[in-house]
Amino acid sequence: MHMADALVSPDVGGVLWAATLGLGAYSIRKVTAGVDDKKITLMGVMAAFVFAAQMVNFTIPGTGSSGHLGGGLLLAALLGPYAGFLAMGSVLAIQALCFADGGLLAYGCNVFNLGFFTCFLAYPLIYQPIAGDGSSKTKSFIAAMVAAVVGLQAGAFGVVIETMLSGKTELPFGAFVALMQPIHLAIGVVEGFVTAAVLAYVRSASPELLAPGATVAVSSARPKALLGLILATLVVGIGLSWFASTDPDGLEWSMEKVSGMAELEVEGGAHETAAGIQAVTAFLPDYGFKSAETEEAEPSWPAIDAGTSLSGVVGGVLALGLSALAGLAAFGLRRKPRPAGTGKA
Amino acid sequence: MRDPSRTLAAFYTVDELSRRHSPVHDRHPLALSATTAAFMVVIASFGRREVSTILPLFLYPCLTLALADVRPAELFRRLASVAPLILAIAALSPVFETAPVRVGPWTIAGGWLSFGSLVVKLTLTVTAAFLLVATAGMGGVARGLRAAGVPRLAVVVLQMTYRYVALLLAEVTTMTRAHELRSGGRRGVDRSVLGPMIGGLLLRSYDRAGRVYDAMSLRGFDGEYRVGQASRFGVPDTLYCLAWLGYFAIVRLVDLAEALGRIANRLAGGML
Repeated sequence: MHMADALVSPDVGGVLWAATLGLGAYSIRKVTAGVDDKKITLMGVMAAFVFAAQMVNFTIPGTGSSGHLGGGLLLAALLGPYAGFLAMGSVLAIQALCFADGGLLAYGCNVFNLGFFTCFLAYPLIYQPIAGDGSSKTKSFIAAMVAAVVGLQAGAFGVVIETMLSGKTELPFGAFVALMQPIHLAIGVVEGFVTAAVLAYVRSASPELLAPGATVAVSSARPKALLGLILATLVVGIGLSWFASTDPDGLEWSMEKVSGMAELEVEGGAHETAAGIQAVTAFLPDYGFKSAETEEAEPSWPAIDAGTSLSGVVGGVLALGLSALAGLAAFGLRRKPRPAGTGKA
Repeated sequence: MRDPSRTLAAFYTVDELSRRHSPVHDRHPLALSATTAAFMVVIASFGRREVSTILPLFLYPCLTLALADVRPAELFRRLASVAPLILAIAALSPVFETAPVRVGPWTIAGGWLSFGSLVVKLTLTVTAAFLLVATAGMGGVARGLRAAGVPRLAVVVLQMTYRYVALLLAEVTTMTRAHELRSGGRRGVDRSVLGPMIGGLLLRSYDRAGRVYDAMSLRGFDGEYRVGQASRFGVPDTLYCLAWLGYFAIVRLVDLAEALGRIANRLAGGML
């Protein structure tokens, strides 16, 4: 479910990065209030554990396929939601940097989809109230299952919304939802089962690890503050999306009502000159980047869109070839035999 | 990538690559991180159907691979592991975007341009992320994050995770191999042993965290993960950043592919 950079636009990636940084800063504040250096070590090792445990594939009976541990919910159960969220952020960073599992621009999206929903929605709002003190095995199993499914469904829906808002693919919303949600329902059930099995083992072998107070700042989790955080994130996200949307913003809407035009047309040398300069220099015209004509007009059958000229095609291939040649030349220069003793370790 | 031994091998490869010295490795981590971030944003800013306009950006990975002396084979392995999912989504584009588009003398479904654009963007972004960690290393990325103002706790947890991923991956490799050898070639772990297997690993990891902390405390750990003397952001780093950022801006604002094509056409006497 890790999103790649190829599917994310700068504004969606930026908004989710901002939301992730905000959540991260809030979590750090909560964690530092009740943490010693030993917990920092524990967070790092538990994050590494989740990464490694995801390599253990679990046979799904009767299907021939396999599933693995999700991570976010287990980290929240072991460390508390705030420390769990930070540890999950570390896991996703290592996956993105070392294994290309998830993009860097899409990092905010992935932390939100796989960390926020599991640590701040599935764990404190679903798992904790159902599982209680963990004395009932059935309740604990149901709690892990429901929380894993809800967390993953919310995350999968997040992927759909973020991909749609990014506009990098023309997949119809309904088709994408119909593709993502059922697949992740099945994955959620498997992840829920694995999480429940691991927690049940830990509870029987070492119950003190899951006792209230063993986790970092779980007991101090305040539902009101969390709700406020969720609302603030949504407001910021929706607000920024509004500014970035193609619909007129508040000012343009008001102008349209008043003058009948979304933007006032002013004739005159200074305005024309300024508009000319802006057209050349604007890196983010209308909160987006300068894009090809093809992006602006939605072609309809049978009208043929002038996508790319032959010069563009030839030039693109030439650019690719020249880049490869430049690389080969640089490689050749680096590989020139050097006098003995000048090589670096 | 779900094979622990292969994942471990890939992990060691990246770690080994990042310890080299080259004109790219020797740059300040902040310069490398900032250049990568700008590269990612510029790629993502291109429209859904832009292909040829993005291609001049291949100069960055080609030159970096060569200057950093990184063999492309490792990069291709990374690409192969993540490409199928994105290609599956990209392959749906021609199905849903059937409106025709002219590409030179040919007319194709618009979805093929979207497909091509996604493939190019995927290749470039995966390459850039790989090159960042293969040149700056995780220690460098952490120094870059600290220099950019990311709080100490988050960076220390990231460094701890990175350091212990290799150890626990090695343990998982041993566990899964032992399981395979005792399970008659059956793939995957049965649900009856899943809890004890992963749970046992968890408890051992937990104990190890305690031992690690004790060992670090004895060596003076005070919450700061020190990785040696931080280098200064010098003139070469500034020039490196400015050169690449300038090139990215030119590619974004000017259609270099179109310009190259016109020059080639003129040289060919208008035959194109």
